[in-house]
Amino acid sequence: MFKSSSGSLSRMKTQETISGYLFLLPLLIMMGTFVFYGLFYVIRLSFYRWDGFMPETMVFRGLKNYLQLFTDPVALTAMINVLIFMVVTVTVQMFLGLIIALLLRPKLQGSRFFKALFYIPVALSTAVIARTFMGLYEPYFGVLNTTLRAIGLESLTRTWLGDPNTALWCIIAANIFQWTGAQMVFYIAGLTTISDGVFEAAQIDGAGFWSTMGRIVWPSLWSTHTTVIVLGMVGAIKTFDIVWLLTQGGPGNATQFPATMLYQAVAQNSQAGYGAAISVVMIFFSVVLAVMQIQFNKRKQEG
Amino acid sequence: MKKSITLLMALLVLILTGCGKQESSAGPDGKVVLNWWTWSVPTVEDFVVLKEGFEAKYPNIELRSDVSQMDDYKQKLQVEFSSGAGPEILSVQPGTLLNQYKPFLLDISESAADTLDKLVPAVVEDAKFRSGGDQILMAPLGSASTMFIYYNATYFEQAGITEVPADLESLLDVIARLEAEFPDKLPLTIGLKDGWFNGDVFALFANMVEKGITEKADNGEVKWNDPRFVEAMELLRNLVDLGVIEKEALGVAVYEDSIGMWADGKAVMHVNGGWAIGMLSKPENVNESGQPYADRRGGRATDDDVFGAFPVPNFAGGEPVVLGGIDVGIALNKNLAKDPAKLDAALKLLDYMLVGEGRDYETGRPGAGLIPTLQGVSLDKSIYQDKASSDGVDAIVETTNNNMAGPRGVTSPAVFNQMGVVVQNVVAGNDIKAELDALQRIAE
Repeated sequence: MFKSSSGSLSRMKTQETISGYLFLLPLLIMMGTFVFYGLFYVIRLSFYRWDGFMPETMVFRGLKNYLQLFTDPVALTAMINVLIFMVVTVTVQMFLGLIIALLLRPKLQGSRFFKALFYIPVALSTAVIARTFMGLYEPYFGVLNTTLRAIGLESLTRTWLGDPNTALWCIIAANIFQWTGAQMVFYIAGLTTISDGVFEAAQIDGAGFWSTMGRIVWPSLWSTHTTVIVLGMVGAIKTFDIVWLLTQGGPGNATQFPATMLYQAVAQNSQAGYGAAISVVMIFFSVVLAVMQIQFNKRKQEG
Repeated sequence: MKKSITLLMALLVLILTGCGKQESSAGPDGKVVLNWWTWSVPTVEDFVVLKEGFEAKYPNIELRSDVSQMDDYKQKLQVEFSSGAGPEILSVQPGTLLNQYKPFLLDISESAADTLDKLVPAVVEDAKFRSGGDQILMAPLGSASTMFIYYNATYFEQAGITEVPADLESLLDVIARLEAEFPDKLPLTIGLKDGWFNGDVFALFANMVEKGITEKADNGEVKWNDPRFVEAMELLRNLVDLGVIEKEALGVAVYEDSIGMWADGKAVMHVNGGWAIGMLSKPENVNESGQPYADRRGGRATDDDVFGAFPVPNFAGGEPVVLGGIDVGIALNKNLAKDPAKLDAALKLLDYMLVGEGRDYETGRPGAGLIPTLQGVSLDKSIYQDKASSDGVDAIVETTNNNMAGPRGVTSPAVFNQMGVVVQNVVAGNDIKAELDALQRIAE
């Protein structure tokens, strides 16, 4: 009786394991087909010269695509741009998102309305955001320059998107406007893990807004910070749409990003091999940055 | 449990295999189906009219269309052709677009000979030249050239300007008069934010210095950092120094900003290609379906304002030059050779668009800037009643026919993109020689 029951238990366990793997199989097939195959294909392609059309025209050129990339001054501009973009957008969005989440934490009248209001840009298409900001930045009749002229600050007017010194910052501003609402949502969710009692105790002890934030909120939200930073960094590396819509990488190459270089190489210049090399470098940096950030936060939490 | 797993696996197989349905030559009702892909020529609205007319004439053919924004269009074609498929019919432009898809296009020199014989021989020769060898890979739908200065003739009259500028000196005089008369308006607007436009700007200035020099450089006969290109970029820099072109132009897009400012009356002159010729027609001129021929994007100064056009003066001295030739052509997918029924239907469509009623509509459609390629046919001047607009049409057509310095674009899209970058950097104040050296490096 005992023997038979044990055998049936073991059979059940085996069946469960098999069915578990079978349930995973569709996802593995999909991932294998659309992610891993694509990834390995791109890595392979990065060693070839190819116009992106007929596979028989592919010519092996070893590391030349990478050599071209690492000696291309535009690539250096793109790397510097993405670095500035990453640091500024991630930092500002984090702080703004957290502050808005904190301000909206008490269940005050209208807080739902403001949550929705701050989230609206996230739900809007980037094309809509870009068109709106183009209207702001337009040098002759745009809202920004018209306002500056109207209040007597004509000396501050600029060709915002046409000046290499301001174009990148204009893109950064548009991106912050669009994505701060998303960080706010992450922090609203994160704040629910801190009990109201902690806030009440801090209030009783006389802690103000900034000391509550610095001593209670900030250290309690490390996992949320990690999520926000990793998503922000990876998102920054692949940033394309807002840049393309606002400046197309110009003026000159002043606002080139790795993704705009990649697009120009593949879609405009028919340099699929070179584009693949850019992709591989982008993937490499995304993975390295994400791993570094996760390790850093892990140590921070453990410490 | 087993049942549910089997069901799940069956579903997965269906999902993974069910999206590869091949379309046969005939549609569900036995009609031959033709798919025509394009960016904006014809437009979605045009296709409504063209489909109705074509299918009425050929009831056994169904015309389907797909209109995308240019960049999306290129991507879709790349994906489709790479997989051995692609639309039966596609709109193309000579230069980069045609060169990219040449291996996938059908030589129509013999199969469409009856239609091609009715076109202007020089245009057919141009199509042959662009296609390479003796083959013809695109049927020329219309010609166009660039660049022209479109102006508000009503404002010119108010400022006491009686003649359009023909050189730098007279252009500076016109700008000074406009600034005095209309301090709140821009005398001239040009959109230098767009790469596609700036490549043309580079080529135009270079051809002012020497006709055909961009073609020579494209063929490797002249280097892109040759002193003549330096001179061309110095001409451009001089316009910036004189205030004819402002640095603000780097933040202005051709269609999103520049043309709208001019059409709204915020600017008096606007630089664009001959394809904007429809703007010269007054909004009261409408076609059979009630659409105005003037595609006055962004609005219009007033309904009564008269618009005119003249070629950009040659700042190096001499006659103005333009670049262009065939602007839009219709190409057939090489795969049609394997399907006689579809090929026959496609050839009927070509004839309809180049010689028949489709041509009447397409080259006379609202906002059309295409100069007809059919022998003995010109633009319909009846919709350009005012002297300035009528003279503007003559100036565009005559310059296109007589002062063509060379084709738009170059063989390498990377070089063309860099030509645009050079223009932006020169206007921004960068070193001309260094910019041209960078262009030469890209070409190499």
